[in-house]
Amino acid sequence: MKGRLSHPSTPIPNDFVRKTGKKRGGYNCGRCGLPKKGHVCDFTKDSINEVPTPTSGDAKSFVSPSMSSVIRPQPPPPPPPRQAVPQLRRALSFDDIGVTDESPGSDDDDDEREELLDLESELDISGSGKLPANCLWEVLKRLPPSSLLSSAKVCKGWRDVSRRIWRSAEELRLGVPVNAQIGLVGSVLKKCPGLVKLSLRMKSDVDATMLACIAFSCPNLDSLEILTSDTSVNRITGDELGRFVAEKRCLTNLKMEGCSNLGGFTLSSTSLSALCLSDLFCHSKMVFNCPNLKEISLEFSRQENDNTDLTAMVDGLGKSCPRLQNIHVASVRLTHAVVLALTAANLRGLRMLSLVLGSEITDASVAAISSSYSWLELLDLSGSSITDSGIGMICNVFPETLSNLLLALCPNITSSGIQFAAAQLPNLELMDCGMSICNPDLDSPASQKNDNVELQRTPSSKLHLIYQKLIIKHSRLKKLSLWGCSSLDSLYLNCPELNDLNLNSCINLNPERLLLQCPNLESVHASGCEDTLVETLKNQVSDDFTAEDYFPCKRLPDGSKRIRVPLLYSPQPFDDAKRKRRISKQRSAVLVY
Amino acid sequence: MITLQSSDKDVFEIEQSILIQSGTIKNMVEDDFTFIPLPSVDTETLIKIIEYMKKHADKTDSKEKNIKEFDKDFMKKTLNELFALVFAANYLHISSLLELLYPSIADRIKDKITEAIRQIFSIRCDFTPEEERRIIMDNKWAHEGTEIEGTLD
Repeated sequence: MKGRLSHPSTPIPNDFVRKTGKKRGGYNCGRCGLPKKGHVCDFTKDSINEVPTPTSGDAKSFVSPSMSSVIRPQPPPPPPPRQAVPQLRRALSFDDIGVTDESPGSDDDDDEREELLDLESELDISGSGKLPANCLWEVLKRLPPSSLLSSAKVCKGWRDVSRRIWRSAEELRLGVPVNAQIGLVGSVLKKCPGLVKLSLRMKSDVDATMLACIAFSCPNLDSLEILTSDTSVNRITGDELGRFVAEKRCLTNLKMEGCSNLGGFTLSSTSLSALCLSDLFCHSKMVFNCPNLKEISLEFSRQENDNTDLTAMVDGLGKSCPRLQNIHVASVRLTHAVVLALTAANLRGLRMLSLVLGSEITDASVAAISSSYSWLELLDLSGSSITDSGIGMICNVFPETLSNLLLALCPNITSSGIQFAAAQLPNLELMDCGMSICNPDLDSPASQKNDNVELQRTPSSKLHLIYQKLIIKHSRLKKLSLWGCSSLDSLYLNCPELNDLNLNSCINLNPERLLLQCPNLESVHASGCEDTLVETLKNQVSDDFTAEDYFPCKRLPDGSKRIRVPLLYSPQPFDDAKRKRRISKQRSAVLVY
Repeated sequence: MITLQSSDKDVFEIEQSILIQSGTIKNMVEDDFTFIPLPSVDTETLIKIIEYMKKHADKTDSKEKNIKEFDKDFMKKTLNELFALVFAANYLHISSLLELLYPSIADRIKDKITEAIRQIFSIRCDFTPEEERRIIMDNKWAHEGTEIEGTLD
């Protein structure tokens, strides 16, 4: 007949089937997709003898299928365009809000495709001709899980598509409501046995039965998150967690909040690579036998009377987790002794170190850190007592590698220290000096009204701390945070790469002493600032400028972090209807519940 | 300049640079076609497709915001119009448009009850009452505490 094309009713090259949503052996012309009845096809052989190649539009989310055989009896064409074949892996989110997220398909079985083709003919019969089959898949795939479950009730075809979407799910985010029982989670997990990443936001209490359910239902799980909320208590004990971790041989990422009931625990796992535990409190022993652990984040509750022996823990950490690259510990009981234990551990791969909230961390600790770990890329000593000389030490040791320096809430550093850091660290990309240049006594809301009176009473030796100026000229700096620096009076920034500037609550920043020469500035946060300052900011920045309300928030321990502190200033809405809003480069909706 | 012909026999002359966003057309152009009949795309839909491609052809940074606004407005169509666009975009291989259409359609149908969805898609329910009951039972746990009833739109 005509080249590769035979009679329209026999199977047709893969690509064309998908393009037109043709059903196998169906009623539509194979060449142009119109119903065959009474139809004369205009297409000639020449117009469709070439297989279209995938367009580059969504290249990032597609992986070429690694097919080794072709379903069709025809001479095998090259693999069909990826975008015409449904992404058979997806993420589901089950939540009141119903955020969905997709994870890219990693491989594509012939089987799946064949199932899908069967599906097409089914759907044709059930009359959902309003959408081609693969498009129906794509649409249903993007439904929030509760809707996906409802869609199964529509008709048999939809039930099958829904079932297949569940089965192919790799990532699931579940919000477990307040009075939920274990059966809820169990029945959902049963639908997606291929699950690789699971995130549970618990509004009801969670205990070891949940772990057992997860262990049973998700054999391939490699990433687990259990997040708590105000209404839920995490009752999992250390033994139970230890058992779970030891038995789940492919678990690489574990994150758990509300860990106050863990007590003493030992976590042994050769697969675990990232661990994040928060709300820790009073742990008689914390042993981490995880030789492949690369990232650890331990946040201790700020309750008093925490009797955890941090030194012993860090000591053990150093011995049993030699591959650590990224350490984050947040505890008010961090001391110099803990730092010494850490430096004694000689963790050769350590690149990111964050020891926050430890007011007993001093310049001596900095000396110890810089002598043992001279290749740090990120150093976060927020909340510590280091002074400008500590900063000097940092600049001596880390100029080549340090790209992130976070010194928020360090009351003993001054703007000269910050300037020095900016000048001496050429690779610096992020600097956070929030609430470090401020004098809390002077800035309490009550005293603001009595400004003049207070100033008169302040001894002149302290005056220099009130009106601090900052001049930063840096070729690589991308993010600078000066939130809460209420003693900052003047600011001059010449940073061609600066994207993000946080001036929240810089209440004393004088608009006449503000000069920004940062052509790439994308967002400036200025909540709580004077209107005149805001105006000046607007004028100084380029056309693409937007500013928005922003609150200091915690981020994950893999890069930039800021301490979450109780807000001292109530937010002043930064609303200007005329100003265009642009979403600054935040993490995607993935992390927002 | 390439000529497109809709199913209603209307012709449109468009620059090649705009049309190569469509994978299908791009391949035909590479085969030196200048006249491309599209018997499965009607005029109304084709006009919208061309409008979309024209807007997206020029993708410079400064226009990004405009493009986003345009996309948002572009999706404000009836469901049937969106379905027609899906068919056309699927056939023409315009992945960026499909990526825009899928979540929009999903959003529209996500809160609808089953009967409403059946009406929208003109689907006949082919479950026996027994099967229907089983499905509801299977998913019973999952519906606890979650509002699934929507409104008929």
